[in-house]
Amino acid sequence: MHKINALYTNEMIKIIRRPSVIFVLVLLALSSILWPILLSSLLMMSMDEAELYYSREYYEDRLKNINDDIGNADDYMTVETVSIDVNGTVKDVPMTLYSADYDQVNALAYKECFEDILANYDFEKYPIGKTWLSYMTAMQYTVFNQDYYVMNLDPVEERDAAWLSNYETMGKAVESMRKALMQHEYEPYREAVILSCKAHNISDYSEPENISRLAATDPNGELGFSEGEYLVGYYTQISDKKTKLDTGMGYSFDLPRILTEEQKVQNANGIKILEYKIQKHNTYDRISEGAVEVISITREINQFVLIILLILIAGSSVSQEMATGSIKSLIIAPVRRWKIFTAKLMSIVTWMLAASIIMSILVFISIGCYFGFDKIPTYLFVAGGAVAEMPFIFYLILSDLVKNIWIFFYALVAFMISCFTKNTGVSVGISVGMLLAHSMPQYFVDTKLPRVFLEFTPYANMNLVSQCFPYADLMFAEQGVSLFENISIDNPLWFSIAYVVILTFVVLFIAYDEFTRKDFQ
Amino acid sequence: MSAWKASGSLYINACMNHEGDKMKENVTPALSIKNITKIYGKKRAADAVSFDIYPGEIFGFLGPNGAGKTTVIKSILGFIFPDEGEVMINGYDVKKDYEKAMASVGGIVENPEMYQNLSARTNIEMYARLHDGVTKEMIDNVINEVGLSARAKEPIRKYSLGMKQRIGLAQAMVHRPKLLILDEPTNGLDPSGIHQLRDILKKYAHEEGAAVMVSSHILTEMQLLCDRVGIIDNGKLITVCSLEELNKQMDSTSGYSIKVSDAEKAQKILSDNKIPVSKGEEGYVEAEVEEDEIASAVRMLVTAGVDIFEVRKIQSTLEDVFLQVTGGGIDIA
Repeated sequence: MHKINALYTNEMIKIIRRPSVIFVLVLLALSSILWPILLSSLLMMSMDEAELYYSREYYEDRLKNINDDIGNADDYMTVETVSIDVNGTVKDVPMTLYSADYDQVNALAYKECFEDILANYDFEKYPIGKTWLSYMTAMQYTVFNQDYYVMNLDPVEERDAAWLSNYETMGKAVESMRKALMQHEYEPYREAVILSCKAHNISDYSEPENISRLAATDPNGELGFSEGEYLVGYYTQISDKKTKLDTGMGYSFDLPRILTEEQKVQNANGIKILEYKIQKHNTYDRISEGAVEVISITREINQFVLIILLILIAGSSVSQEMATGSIKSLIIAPVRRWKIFTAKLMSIVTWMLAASIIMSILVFISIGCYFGFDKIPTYLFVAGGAVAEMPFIFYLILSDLVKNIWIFFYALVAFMISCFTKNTGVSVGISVGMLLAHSMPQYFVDTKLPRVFLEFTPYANMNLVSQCFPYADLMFAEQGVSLFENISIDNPLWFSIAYVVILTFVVLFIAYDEFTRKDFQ
Repeated sequence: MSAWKASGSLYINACMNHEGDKMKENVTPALSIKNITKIYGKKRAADAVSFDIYPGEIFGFLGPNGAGKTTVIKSILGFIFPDEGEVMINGYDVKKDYEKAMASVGGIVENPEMYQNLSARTNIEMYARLHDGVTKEMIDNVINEVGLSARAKEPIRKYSLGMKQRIGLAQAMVHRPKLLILDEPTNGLDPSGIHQLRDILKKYAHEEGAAVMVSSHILTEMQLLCDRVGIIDNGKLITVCSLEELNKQMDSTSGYSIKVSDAEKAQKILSDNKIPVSKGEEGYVEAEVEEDEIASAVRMLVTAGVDIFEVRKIQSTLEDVFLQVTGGGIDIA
């Protein structure tokens, strides 16, 4: 064993002293520290801008722009009486008719709302944007009014009884929403949403239920915007999960799929976690969300640098020694080849783990310093039927390790190739090529072959983050979108792990066999 | 050269005893290889090669390019797996007791390739880590022994070829192996470096009792350095012979080169007097006579009116032997 230790020590010295490795390590460290700072700066700038939204100045400014754009509205807007057939009875309805286009009508709708808000809304009492209710009602008021105006663009000859009913319902919805805004009340808001759903023939709409739940916990409408957004998001996710459990169906890329037992358990646990978060007022502000967003983007960027680092180390592990002849001093030493192989593999695995962990820690520190460590949320999961919390740093380290499994695997492929060739460029190049093209077979299988084959494609089984950390998406109100979305499959975790283990074993066996039986010329 | 060629087979006959010195019969060979065979496609790179090397001797391994020298050395050192044969190092079978066998071996194959970004000392420390019982003092001593103490902290990439040879030798010797195998160790060394290397190896073999195997194509060096030589050609070991024995044969079979005013006339006179003679370089004849016959031969020529300008004894060299044995396929540096 001490020989393996000695070989391992030597391998680590060789790797850390290579200029190319030092360069990529510096790159990785800089990427882990600088990207969060850069992205955070951009995010904070956009947040600063957000502060201006829905102030009196905002409305005045928007109104001025609209007036400048549309000029005199009377030129293309007339109010006339239109006769509509209602169940065989002709009804005369006063109605606005336009000779304008869609954008101009939109602008007119906005203009009307903005003028109304500026004239009648008490900005001092309920600053718009400070509370969830004021923000949402102000926004929805203009949106609903816009819908109402646009209905007037329908040709007169198409306006029948059904249209008139929807039109009148939408008018009531706008009025109700205006009342919710001006009086700062939840109930008119809920009614307006229900009316709007009715006017648009939408049956499955969870928003009214969410508003009721919010009203129950926040009768005076004092809930902050972010907090309200989170609560509504949690409510929506709970109802979504309940629907999935009730129907036993889920969706994957808009295709209905029958839930597996594992997915049913995850949905049930997800509801527990969401209720726990609601109960604990585990809601975060936009800074927290921004912090995690920045972490997420930085992780994706860092993966590229990690790929370069690990494939460089693994792909040159044997080939470069063969090319330079330095392998001779290893072969001539009194150690069996399997020990040399083991030490090399150990050093590569060490670098895999160390690089990933250091990267996670650096990103966490960088984010924590910039946003504040208290702004970074915890990862919630269910253990023994109860909800438990994991500090984000541990979650980040572990999930990064899982997330990087496919990179680790391709680094081992690079190591395998390096046992066959003296040319480091070949071993590194082929590995990078395989890695870049890894999703092609997956898409080919998905489009040309029965879906069952998809479950046996390598990458499909290496993307284990969602299986190992199924509740990461519940950290925030809305599910984050991965930059590298892949075709999802429903393989159970044990299958994916077994698949990865077997594939890794095969790769390592081929490498081992070549290294230990090879003639070094 | 032509003088000894006539009786060149004598060298081979004198050296065909592969067992070498009979007096070493009871000593365990530092290296014993038996019937090493390595086949690449249809080519037998090494064909049933067998020889022993004993503690305290320097063994020269000679052969033209592609003869199979490196194949044999790589088979001994575990770089390649021979198709047949057995390698025993200090009594350990390499196949069965690889680590014990290799623990007492040091070597340089082809060129001393080390880790370019690391210093000479770090390279040696890394190598020493793989051996038991190598102390810091031993590392210092061996670096000092090859004369690179002052530059041991510099990265290898800054070293000249000669310096690399020296540090390669230091690495190979750091654990004081009982068997040292060096492939072309004088490559890149200047004359003083070669001299120093020769001293180190002789001291190492003759004073410390290690066995040293040296492959080189600089035959004069081998002649000065080795105690025994083995010659390989086309994968087959042609002969193993002690230098002492070889020197005796070379001395006993030499003739005389005579610079004369008329070479053709001189050749005819000597030939008429039944003295084996051949034409040498321009103006020379080479007479195959013993020391006690040269005076009468000279007298014959002078009497016949041929002027004599120089009489020189022909000294056969290892190179001559090598050329004769291998049929001239020599690779001379």
